[in-house]
This record gives sequence, C-alpha cells and structure tokens, in this order.
Amino acid sequence: MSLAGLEMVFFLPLALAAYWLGPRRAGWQNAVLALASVIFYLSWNPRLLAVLVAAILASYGAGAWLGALPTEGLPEAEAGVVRRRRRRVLTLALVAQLGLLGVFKYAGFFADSLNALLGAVGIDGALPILRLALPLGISYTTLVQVGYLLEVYWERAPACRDPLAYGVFVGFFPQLLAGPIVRARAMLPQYLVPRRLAADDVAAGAAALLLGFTMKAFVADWLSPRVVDPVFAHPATFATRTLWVGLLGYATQLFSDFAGYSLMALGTGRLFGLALPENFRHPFLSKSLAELWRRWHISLNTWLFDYLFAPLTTGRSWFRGRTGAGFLVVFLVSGLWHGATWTFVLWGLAHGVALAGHHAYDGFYKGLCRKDRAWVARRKSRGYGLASWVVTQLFFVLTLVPFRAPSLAAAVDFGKGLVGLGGSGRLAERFGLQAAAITLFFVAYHLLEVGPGPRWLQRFRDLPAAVRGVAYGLVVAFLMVYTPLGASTFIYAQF
Amino acid sequence: MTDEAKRWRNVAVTAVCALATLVAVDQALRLVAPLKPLLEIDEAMEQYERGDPTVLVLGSSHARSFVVLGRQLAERTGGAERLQPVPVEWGKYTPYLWTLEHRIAPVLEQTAADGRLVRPSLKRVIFVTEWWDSTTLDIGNGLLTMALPARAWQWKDFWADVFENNLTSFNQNFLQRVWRGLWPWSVLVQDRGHENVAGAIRDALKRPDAAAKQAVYDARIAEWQKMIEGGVDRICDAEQMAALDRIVGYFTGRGLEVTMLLYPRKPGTLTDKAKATTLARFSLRMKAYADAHGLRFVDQTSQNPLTDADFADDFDHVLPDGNERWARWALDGALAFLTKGVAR
Amino acid sequence: MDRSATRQLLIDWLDDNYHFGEAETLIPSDDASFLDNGVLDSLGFVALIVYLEDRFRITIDRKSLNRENFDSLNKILAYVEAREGAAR
Repeated sequence: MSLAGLEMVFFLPLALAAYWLGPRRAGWQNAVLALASVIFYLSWNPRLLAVLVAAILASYGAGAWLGALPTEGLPEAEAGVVRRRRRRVLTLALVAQLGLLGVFKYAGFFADSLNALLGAVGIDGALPILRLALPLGISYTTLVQVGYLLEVYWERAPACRDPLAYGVFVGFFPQLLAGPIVRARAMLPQYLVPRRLAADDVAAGAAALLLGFTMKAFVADWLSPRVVDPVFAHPATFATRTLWVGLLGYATQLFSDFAGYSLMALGTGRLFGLALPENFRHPFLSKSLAELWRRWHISLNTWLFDYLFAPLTTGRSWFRGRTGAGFLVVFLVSGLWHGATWTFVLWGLAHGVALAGHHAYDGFYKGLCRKDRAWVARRKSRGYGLASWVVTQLFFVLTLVPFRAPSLAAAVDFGKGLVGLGGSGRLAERFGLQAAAITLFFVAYHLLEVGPGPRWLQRFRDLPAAVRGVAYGLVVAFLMVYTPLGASTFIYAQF
Repeated sequence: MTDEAKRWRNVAVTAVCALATLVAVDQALRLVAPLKPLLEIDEAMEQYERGDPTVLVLGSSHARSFVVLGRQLAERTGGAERLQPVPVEWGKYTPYLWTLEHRIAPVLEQTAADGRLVRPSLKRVIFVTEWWDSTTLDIGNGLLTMALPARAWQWKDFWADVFENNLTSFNQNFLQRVWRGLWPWSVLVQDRGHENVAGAIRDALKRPDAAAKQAVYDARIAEWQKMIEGGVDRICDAEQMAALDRIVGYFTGRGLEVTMLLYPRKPGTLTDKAKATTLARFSLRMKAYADAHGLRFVDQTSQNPLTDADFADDFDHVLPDGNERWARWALDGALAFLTKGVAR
Repeated sequence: MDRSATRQLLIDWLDDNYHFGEAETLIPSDDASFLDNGVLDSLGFVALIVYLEDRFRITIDRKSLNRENFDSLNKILAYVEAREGAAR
C-alpha cells in the first residue's frame, strides 16, 4: 500500500469516516489511526510488524522510566545518583533501538565489508552474512524514537503517559514509508487532545495531496523508466549529453518522488487534523550546500543537526567548536543511514568534505570582510549569488552519481561518461508534449517561489472559490489523462 | 456567518466547482474518445442467471463477438435459442478454468429445493480460442498480471488472495476493476491503462501525417507477424493444456455438446510462414484434441469473410459491422447447427 | 557584567562573525526573533552557544539547548544573567 496507490481511494475514505464520525475523543481517534497504520504496515510485511511493535513498547517503556527519574528539585548528591541512573536507562534504550536498526540494516553490509577486507589478506568467509528483510520504515521509526528518548533524557519534553498516542506518534501510516521524521515536542501534544476538523485543514490537505501526487505520479513516475533507469543501467554505452540528461532527470525524479510523497503525507495528516513537519522547501533554489541541507529532507537533517551535530560541537569532547569535523561525522552517518553500501558512504563523505571545505572558505571570506567591508557587498551581489547557485547545484547533482549508481564501478563509468570519455548511445524514446509539460511544471514550481512568483500565487489564492475550483478540476482531468498508470516503487521506502 | 463557516463555504464551493469541471471535461472527451461499453464477466453472469441460456460461449474478449451472433441466433429461432457469451479478458486456459469453477459452475449447477436444476436449458458450449491462449502465463519477467482472474473475482476471492499473498500487483487488478465499475459513465476512469484519450486528443489537435500513420501501421503489422510466427514453439503449454482438459472434461461430463472454435485473426497479420507453422500446428493439435474428446471443431482463423478493415485499431477485435457480417456467415455455415435442436 | 555591556558584546560578536556592522539594522527590537529576521541560522546558533559558554564562563545544559531560548537579544541576555548569577 502506498499513499499514491489506487487502494487509497478505498482505504482513506474509510479511515477518515471512522476517525471523524466516531466520538470526538483522542482515544478513539488514536485507535482509528493505530488500526489504519497496522493495516498499512501489514500490507508490506506482516511478519515484521512485531518488530515495530516491540521497538515502540521498548522506547515507550524507557521514556516512562526516565520520566519516573526526575532530577529537578533534588539535592546535588542525590541528583548525581539519579543522573547516572538516567544515563544507564538511556544507554540501554539507545542500544536496543540502534541495535535493532543495526542488525536489520547493516549486519549484512558490515559482514560483507569485513569479509572483503579479511579476504584481501587471505582469510576467506570468516563471517556469516546475515541478510534479513528490512522492516518497513525502520530507518525512520528508529530516529523518531531515538529523538524522543533524547528529548525526555534532556528533560526538554515530558515522558508520554499514553501508550496508544505514543504508538501512533511513531507509526502513523503516512510517515511510515518515507517520513517526515517527527519530533516529540511538536507532535505528541497533538495526539493527546481530540482533533477538530477545520476548513483550512481540508483545503490545505487536499492541495498538498494534489500537488504531491502530481510531483510523484506525473513527474517522477514518467521520468524513471524512460530517462533515468536506462541511463544508469548501462552508463558506459551512452553519450555525454545523454548522461547529463539522465543525471538531471534523476535529480528531478528523486526530488519529485520524495518531496511529492512527503507532501502527500503532510496532506493526509492535515485531513486527520494533524500538522506533520515540512520536509522540503525548494532545495534547488539553494545558493550554498548548507542552505541546501536546510531545504532538502528537512526532517532528517534537522534531526541530525539537533541530536548529533549540535551536541557534538557544543559538548566537551574534541569536537567542541570543530564545525568541519562535525560535518564529516554527520554526513558519514547520513550516508550510512541512506543505505548499507559503499556508494552511499562515498556520497556522504563527499558532502561532509564539501561542507567542511565551504566552512573553511567561509571563515577565510569573513576575514576579508573584516578588513574591507566591500567584500560584504560583493557577496550580496547578483553575480556572486548566481555563481554560488551554479556551484552548489552542480555539486549536488554530481554527487547523485554515486547515490544512484548500483555500484562503485558503475558510478565511475558514469563519471567518465559525463566528461566525454564514454559511449555514444542515445535514448530510444522521442520526447514530446509530456516531457515539455513536465519541464514547464518543474520550472513553474520553482519560479513561484522567487521574484514576483509569490505575488502571482497570492493572486491565484485571492480568486473566487468557484474559479479556483474550475482550475483544480482541469488539473485533475489533465492528471487523469497523462499520469502513467501504476506508480513505481517509491525510492525512499528502501531506507 | 463566522469566519470558520465562511472558510467551509469556500471549501465547499471550490470542491463542487472542481467536481463539476471534472465531470464536464470528462463528458466533453466523449467527442474525441467515445465510451465503448464492453460485456464483462459480472454482467455476463447476471444475464446468465436471468436468461437461462441454451448455448454458453466461453472465451477471451473475442467471445464478445458472440453478443451479435447471439442476437441473430435469437432472431432466426424466434427466441428458442438463447446464447450467453462469458468473455474472460486476456484469455488463456487457466483463467478460463478459474472462471468456470468459481463463477459459471455455481450458477450452472444451482438446484432448487426439489433437486432440479434452476437453469436446465443449457445444451451446448462453444469454446472460443486461438493459439495465444495456449501459451504460458509467464511473460519472461514475471507472470502476466493484466486483469486475469482478478477480472472474474468477487470480493471474497480478493480477500482470500490478500490474506494468502498480501497486496500484490495481481490482486490489485481487482481493485482497479472495482474502481472502474463505480464510474461506468466516465471516459477518464475507463481510459486508465488504455491511454486512448491522450492519443485521441493528440490526433484531434494535430492532423496526423498520413505517411507517418502508415509507417506506424506497417511497423505494428510487422510486429504482429513476428509475434505470431514466433509462437510456434510456445503453443500448447503443459499447464494450459491441463487446464483445458479440466474445462472440456467438465462440460462433456455434464453431457453438453462442445464446439471448439478458432477465432478469426486479422488477415494482414498472418504471413504464409505463420499459416504454415504456428497456425497450422495449433490447428492440427486442436483438431486432434477435439477428435479425441468428441468435440466439434471449427477453424475460422483464416477461413472467414473478414478483411483487415473489419478489425479495430488493436488488430485483435472485430468492429461492429464486421461482427454482423461474420455472425451471418457463421450461422449460414459452420455454426448453422446452432439453429437446429440437439437430441437429448 | 551589566546588561548593556553584555548586549554590546553580543552585537559585536554578530557583527564580527556574520553581519559586519549591520547587525543592529537587522534586529528591529531586542525581542525580535533571530530566526525570523535572518540574524542567525542553525550553524550560527551552535557557534553562539560555544561563544556564550566560553566568553561568559557559563554552562548551557542540554535541557536549555533550544533555539527558542536564544532566539532574541533579550532571551540571550536573560539566560546569561541567570546562569552568571547561579555560578556566583
């Protein structure tokens, strides 16, 4: 089951009906969401539902335990003992959650790599390879729970006393496949009170669903089989221009697929009266890598920032104040999070190094600014902005080669082809109206964010409801004619 | 009116106008891509239950040609002979068997309180087939999942499959069918998976270049020719033939007179080589099969009055005028026995 | 250290590291949000924490390590004063 699948036209109305037509009580509403989420999960891998439930019970229990060990108001000696106990509970809980993720996701990778390493020195087949089916969304749900545990440990959020609300907080079905990764302080309070359906929720929810569906089913699902897959399958055979088309196509596909699905998740949440966090904010408009990571997969990157980068660089360890080193660690972790392969690690490393490098450059440039304020104006100039934008986007797009390539060798082939050392093949397909429509949509989507764009958007929103309705009707009709039938498997669900 | 009430009114107005626009566009599209309502298994079985037919026609989408023949037969016999086609879209013997066992047999065998058949009139079965039906479901990268038994399923069959296999692209076809069934009047919904509307719009906006159209047509003919020629080693797959055995066995076991009919193919797609290899081999095998099981055998693959112009754009199905001519010809000739009674 | 001196230190730090003389123009009031007015991004916030701890010899505990607690001049000043007072 997927938010973009046909089964949603049957599943979602039933869930919404049960949710809103039942008693207006948090318990009832959470129970409906829990049941819906269980059904959603079962439609992927029924046998592994027990793993998710066990993880949720464990983190809930650990949170409750921490909540029962407050340090406020205690004399210093006692507080010290309690603090040590809290640290032990946290350690146990984190080991359990991250251990679960490690076993399911990384055991095979590490065993493979270790075996390869040992094999290189003549020791063959030392470790058995454990290959387990991945429980749905485990990379996401683990981070949600770890975030909650840390917030409770640092006493920034109270421990949750409602296991059903907590379960839904972790496993709410729109966020199961691909996030967004939710935070306790923003989401749990929403589950603890009855939700009311506001007109704005319906309007915003429907709009998000429509836009998200357009991005995922119209843009991403069209690009994938025609442009991206063939080029990445046999990079050595294609001409340079074709490889660039394939790479840009992949950037478009990856963004549209992921941002589209995130929008659908947000829209679905709104229809249930819930505000899930934003996950994308026009990342292709970013003028620096740091800015890009604040606009792309926002929920993951703010999570890494709040729970890894900030504690690391403000703590008392060697990393204190060492922004560059912090970037390296965070992006290595991010790479690994995306997948248990060396291409993802390489991708993460590239971004960590680039960010650290940019930070060093930034420090150097600030030195120039301190000596001569003219450098400040130069940085704010259009030329500088344009150059920054080009460099940032180029770098990001180029790092998508290892991100997408099925192996390091294929990535190398692709890279060689991009600079003219490849083949001469072209794509078989002749691209006409649909390719043009997709390009137009993608450009318009970004133009509406810059310059006069927001004003035009507001003018549209100010039109009479009937006129807007006609516009939406035309869009839906267009989609029904031109979106490919049968959405491809959602990319980020493999994480 | 409160602010919230105003907002709800706005939402309602937007939604109503959006729906109205969608329906208007949908119906306007009838001008370029008219709906072609097709007989499906659900409707066929409803007709069977009401009609108590004397002749059952089981086959793929080709069985729909027998709607016309059935009407002509009724005219010729003053209503004495009632023919019911049951078209199992996408064909093949294992889906036919599933449909027979799960949808047709319960209706056929239904008895009243006194033990007598509720629908006792059935005397004959025409089994409509072609070489492709006998090839395997395995298309090389998975099984053919285009609507096969899912089209013949009911909700209980869907849930049983989901329970056993979880949601798969195979059983999701059932949901597609249910969804389509909810909107029989909608061009947009019925078009999903066929993409005729997109093509029709393109043709309407831009007069297609005749030479280019001909080139595309020729290329497709060549493709079909190759496909039929290539079928020679794939016909009479073991699993499919085993299903055929059970289908034939069921009907003959109930004392029904069974005719095996090889459906007409578009003449332009049949090369001499295909006629000499794939089609000849299939015809011989099926003739032998029919003789061994006491079935009547009618081969209309190339012996029929249809020309290329009688076939639809899909090269596979016959247009209404063609069906009328073919039905008349068949009832005058090889299928004339239908107008005469059966000694019971 | 008195409030206005601390305030000036903060403005100087912002100017020296981010805004080069324009920090005051970006901050319409001492209660204005740093995030909403583009005064400090998330990396800047982390750098601010390290600066405050080092310059004012205070420890910012994890519980308080929230952008909301440091999102305006007044909030930062209040926090520093409270921690300086506690340290004494």
